[in-house]
Amino acid sequence: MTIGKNTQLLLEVKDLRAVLPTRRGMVKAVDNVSFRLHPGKTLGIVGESGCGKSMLARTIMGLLPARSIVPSESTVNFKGQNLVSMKKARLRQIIGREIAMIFQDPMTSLNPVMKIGKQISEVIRYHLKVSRRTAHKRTVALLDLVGIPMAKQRANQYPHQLSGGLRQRVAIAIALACEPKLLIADEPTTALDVTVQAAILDLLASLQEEQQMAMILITHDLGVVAGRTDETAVMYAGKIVEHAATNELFNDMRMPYTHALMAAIPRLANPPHTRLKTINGQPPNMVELPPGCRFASRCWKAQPLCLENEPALKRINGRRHRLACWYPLNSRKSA
Amino acid sequence: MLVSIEQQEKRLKNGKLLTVNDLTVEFRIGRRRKMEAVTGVSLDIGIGETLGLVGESGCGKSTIARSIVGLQKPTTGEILFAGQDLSQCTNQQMKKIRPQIQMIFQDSVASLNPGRKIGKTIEEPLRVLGLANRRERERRANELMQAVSLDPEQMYSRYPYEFSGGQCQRVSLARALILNPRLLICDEPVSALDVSVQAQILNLLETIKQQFHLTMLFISHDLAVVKNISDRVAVMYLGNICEIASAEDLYRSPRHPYSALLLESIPEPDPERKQQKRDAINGEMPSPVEPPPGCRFHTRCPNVQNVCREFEPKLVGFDNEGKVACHFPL
Repeated sequence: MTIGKNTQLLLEVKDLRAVLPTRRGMVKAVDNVSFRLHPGKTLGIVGESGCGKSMLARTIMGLLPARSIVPSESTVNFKGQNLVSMKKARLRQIIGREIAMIFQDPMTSLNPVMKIGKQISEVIRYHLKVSRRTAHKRTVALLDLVGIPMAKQRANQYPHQLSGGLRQRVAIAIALACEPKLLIADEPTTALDVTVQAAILDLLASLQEEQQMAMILITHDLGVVAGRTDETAVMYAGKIVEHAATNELFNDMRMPYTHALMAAIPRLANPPHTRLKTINGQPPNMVELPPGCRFASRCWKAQPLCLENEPALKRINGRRHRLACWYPLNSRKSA
Repeated sequence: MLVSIEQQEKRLKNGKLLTVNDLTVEFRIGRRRKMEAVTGVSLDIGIGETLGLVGESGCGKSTIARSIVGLQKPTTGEILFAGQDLSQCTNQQMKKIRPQIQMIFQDSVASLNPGRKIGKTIEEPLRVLGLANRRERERRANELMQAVSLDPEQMYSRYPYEFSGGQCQRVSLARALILNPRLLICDEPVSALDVSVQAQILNLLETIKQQFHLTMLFISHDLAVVKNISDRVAVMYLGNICEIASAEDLYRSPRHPYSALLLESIPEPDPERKQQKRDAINGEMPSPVEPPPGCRFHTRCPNVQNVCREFEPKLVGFDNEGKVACHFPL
């Protein structure tokens, strides 16, 4: 997992902010998020609902709701081009072709009145400007690639004729149609059953390996991230609060929120009727954020400093482990 | 009224609060076609026990729950509550039994009336049954709001839209408990919640269970959640029960290949487990409209033999009350 200095960066997100207008006021859905992604690597983004993980993906893709504001200091650098300041027409050449996205609910992301084959070939024809026949051939090959049996016949079916797992496979086929360099998967398996979830995650992993594609995997489930990502970032109230290589994060979590989130998960290893650890209180109101650390009101280690000043996301011990906390938990590694 | 039921329970020889015998539920689809959502399911729940029911979507878990509370009429089979066959009961008898079986649902926000103050929602069962006057109802509602950790002073006059999903689930729970039920059915009560809230609700359910001496049927697709709360677990597949065992036994050594498959598929938050290569999963659950002949799992089973394609295995006991429906159990 060591990355040589001369490996080219694929994506560099720097000081990314997104402010959304809502009825209750302006919401800083994404606040000062920075990270880098190398080709072929996977970044997991974990957080509870409302923490801004989906908005982060949408900001990168330029898919924010109307009248949202992304300040001009924010940069999303994809292969040397800044997506934030880019013209819409130019962006459309990149989105769908070099950066693709899959969503949680395949039923709503597919067109219910269009045959699935058509939905895939539409993307191919738009971006690659090939003939109908070539596009159709590629469509069938893609359906085959994502593990849909009887691909030729399936191409003539409508989304409602497919099961949830197959629909998600179609959505993946659309995303992969132009061999993107970056795939953003926003809760790709949340609506699916566990056995199907495992199959879809396996499929994504093998496709990623084959095509040397980078991936951002957004999920609320720490279990999905473990074992399937190179790095993991934990988000809370619009910010990244901890970010490290996945193994490092799970073995040595330092931010109290990450720790609490992990402790709240029912584990198979525990005997029945084990009391779960809970996090007191609720996430802060995103319209009126507290001045200090956003987790402070729920944190058992909070001190007066935490309520007043917001900790910055900093590297610790010179390692690739970033943390936003004034009083991090003791490292399990240091003696 | 409640006393007599408790006495009746003591007289029950086997100590089972609920017994479901050979339950089949059919739905009509189209003019002539029918599908069986639940086929010949038998299970029982002892007094004070929590039975977990797991399976993938469409396997019939919710249909069983709905049949028990009477939201769905069984096609054949019997449901015995405290020894009484519910289908044989008169309306008068049902009026006494229904309050004792209560249910909470997955979508807690949708199961509350958006135009009604939550205090009123909680006390409604008492009003409908005419069991208490207004002041008594308010007192009981306050009591139950405290039991589920909602502050009655602040929350009584609020509306559901002001509440989070977890709080709405607490309200549903208070409403279910106000009639002092014996059996609480939880249909995916935490599936729509975030992990931190999920943990709060699961802990609350355990506390409430002790406090109110409840027996529970807990339905979920999440095996880790089910293990955490259940004494015994039943695994369902395509309308059948394929395995019932104590929670410990089932998770330590599953006997049915489908239980094993489910267990392997759980994403555990532990990166060390990465290397473990799982067997290729053969396809997806077939449509319940045309279930495969023989063992219903044979289309996906890694150990399938010719017998499995022709004959349906029966649910047979192996040890410690564990039962499995498989020709070649693991």
